[in-house]
Amino acid sequence: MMVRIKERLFEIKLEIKLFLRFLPLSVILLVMGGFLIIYNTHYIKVDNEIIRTSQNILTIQESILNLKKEKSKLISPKNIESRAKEELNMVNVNLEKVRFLVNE
Amino acid sequence: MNESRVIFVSFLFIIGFLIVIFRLIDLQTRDKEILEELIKRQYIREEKVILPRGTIYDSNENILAISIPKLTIFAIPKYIKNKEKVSEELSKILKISKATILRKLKRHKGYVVISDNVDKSLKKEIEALRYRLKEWNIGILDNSKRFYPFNELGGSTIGFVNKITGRGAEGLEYKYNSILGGGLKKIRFIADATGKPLHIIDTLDNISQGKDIVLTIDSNIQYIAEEVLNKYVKLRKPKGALILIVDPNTGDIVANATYPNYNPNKYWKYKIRKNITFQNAYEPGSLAKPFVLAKAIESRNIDLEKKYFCEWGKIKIDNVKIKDHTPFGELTVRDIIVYSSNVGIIKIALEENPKELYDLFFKLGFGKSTGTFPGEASGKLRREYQPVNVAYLSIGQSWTASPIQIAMAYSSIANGGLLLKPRILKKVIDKETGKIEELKPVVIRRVFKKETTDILKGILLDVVEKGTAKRGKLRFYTVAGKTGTAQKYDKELKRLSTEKYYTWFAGFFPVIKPKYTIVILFDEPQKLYEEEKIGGGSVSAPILKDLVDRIMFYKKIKPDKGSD
Repeated sequence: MMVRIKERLFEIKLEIKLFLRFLPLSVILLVMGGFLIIYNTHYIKVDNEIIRTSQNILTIQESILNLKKEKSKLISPKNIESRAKEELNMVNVNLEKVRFLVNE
Repeated sequence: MNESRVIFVSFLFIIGFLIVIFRLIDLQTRDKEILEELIKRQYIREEKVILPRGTIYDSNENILAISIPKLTIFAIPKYIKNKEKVSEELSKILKISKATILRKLKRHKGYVVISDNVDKSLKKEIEALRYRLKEWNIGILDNSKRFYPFNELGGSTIGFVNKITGRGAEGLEYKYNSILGGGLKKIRFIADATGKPLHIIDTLDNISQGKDIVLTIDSNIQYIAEEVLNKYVKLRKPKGALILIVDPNTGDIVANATYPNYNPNKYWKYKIRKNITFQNAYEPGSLAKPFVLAKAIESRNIDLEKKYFCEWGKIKIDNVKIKDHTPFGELTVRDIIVYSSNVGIIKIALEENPKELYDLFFKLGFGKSTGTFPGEASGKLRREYQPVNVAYLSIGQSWTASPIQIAMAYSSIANGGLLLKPRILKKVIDKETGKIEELKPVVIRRVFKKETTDILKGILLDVVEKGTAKRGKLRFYTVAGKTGTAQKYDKELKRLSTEKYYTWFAGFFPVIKPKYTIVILFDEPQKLYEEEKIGGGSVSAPILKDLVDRIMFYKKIKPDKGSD
């Protein structure tokens, strides 16, 4: 019985020795694995962020173009004239009433 | 017994695996191409996308043409399960009638575009609709559409982009295709099982977005010119008409109002899309007379007070009778221009060396296109030295010039004798590099001495102050110019018509330091009353009254005349 226990202990010691021999390597592998997981998670996060930002840039560029279009419509001479006449009750210049201070 | 069973079952498994492996090898090698083609048909789709073009600005950097991002909504009708429902729901979002969408879905089996002009803000709604109805064969693609915010303002000059090819088809859009870019690009994409583009095989990344251009056109002056032109078109009902305004010091085309005109946003609705300023040539009539006088001044220093007998309005050259609009007796050289006597100017022209006279007209740019606009007319001017041809040359009959040629020739009087190349493109802006290329005015050649143009300016001022263009005389600003009337050839009568005319005014203002050259033309204007005499003086010159003051007030230029 004692002999069997001794043998078992000896085996355990050997296994521990073996384990300890490969422990640093295991730790390195685990750390590297962990690092890769963290890196990948971060990479995906950043990648998603880039895609989202690019889409935002595109959306903003599109809105800029649409705003430019709307601005152009608003500043068209025809629009300005019709709004001046309809909303501000402005009238065309009566040339008969125009006086210039030519010599001043 | 058990062992043999295990061997048998294992054998069956091995055979099964071998069959699968052989089939895989077969699929990968023997039927590879057929299967790839099937995959392509099923998953790879092709769509033509209109590329964005550069923006066109006016001289104040207001946008005249811009490419706006849009969506193309397409469908593959044979896979649409409920066409009625899809049409109904899409019509609510796209604001297109249900019947129109339904008709498209029923008429086509394969790919059909439902709309290529959908606002990008509707993308989420359409995507939501696809998921809600589980109709995966409704597709969405990015696209681009050309938009002209000022509608018909300068339409015939700006031109338009073909909505199918995405390339400029007429006007400046056509002329500057290579700068503005655009066009079509075939995009291939792999669609997922839902039909949604999964991966775009050909991207738009390496395609040049085109450069922006700045024109010399001032949209405010263009608006004034178009408004005034439309007023007189309503009054005179001509076949065609134009007001062209050019800066005589740079050759810049500031405004070009034409009738007929069109709205480039709806170009397909217009049958006539010609720009008559560049693409037509007309007989200039009496507009040619100041050039004959200039020749006489430069070649023999003709005395402006010398009197010529004007034969009471009739002269016979090589057995051809030529008449005056009014019978004149004796007129001084100055008055021959001021009151526009055909007989007087013919007599002056016949005293000149005919070859040298033709040389001058060619030097002024007549008979050769200016190369400013696509499809530009060169006009017809042939050297024919018989007296009758010289006579017709001097009164602007039997040869033609385009309005832009007339504008540049009169600009040479305004600027002291230089013939300039018309300029309509001012700047090219490269958005990617930020580089701005400015195009400088181009002097072609000197055509008159400065002293000659000073004399001509005085005479042309008298034309407006007291001569044939006196109906265009203004209170605040001096205008110098010349009226012209040319009889049109009547094809039915086979002779010059006494009812149909081209009426012209060409001149510049203010006289001392001219800012603008102006050309006004009416093609077959109608009489306002039965006895009215149609001519440049009665039809074209009065337009100055509506036009010049407004332009000068807008440009804040002080009057050069006392407001008496």
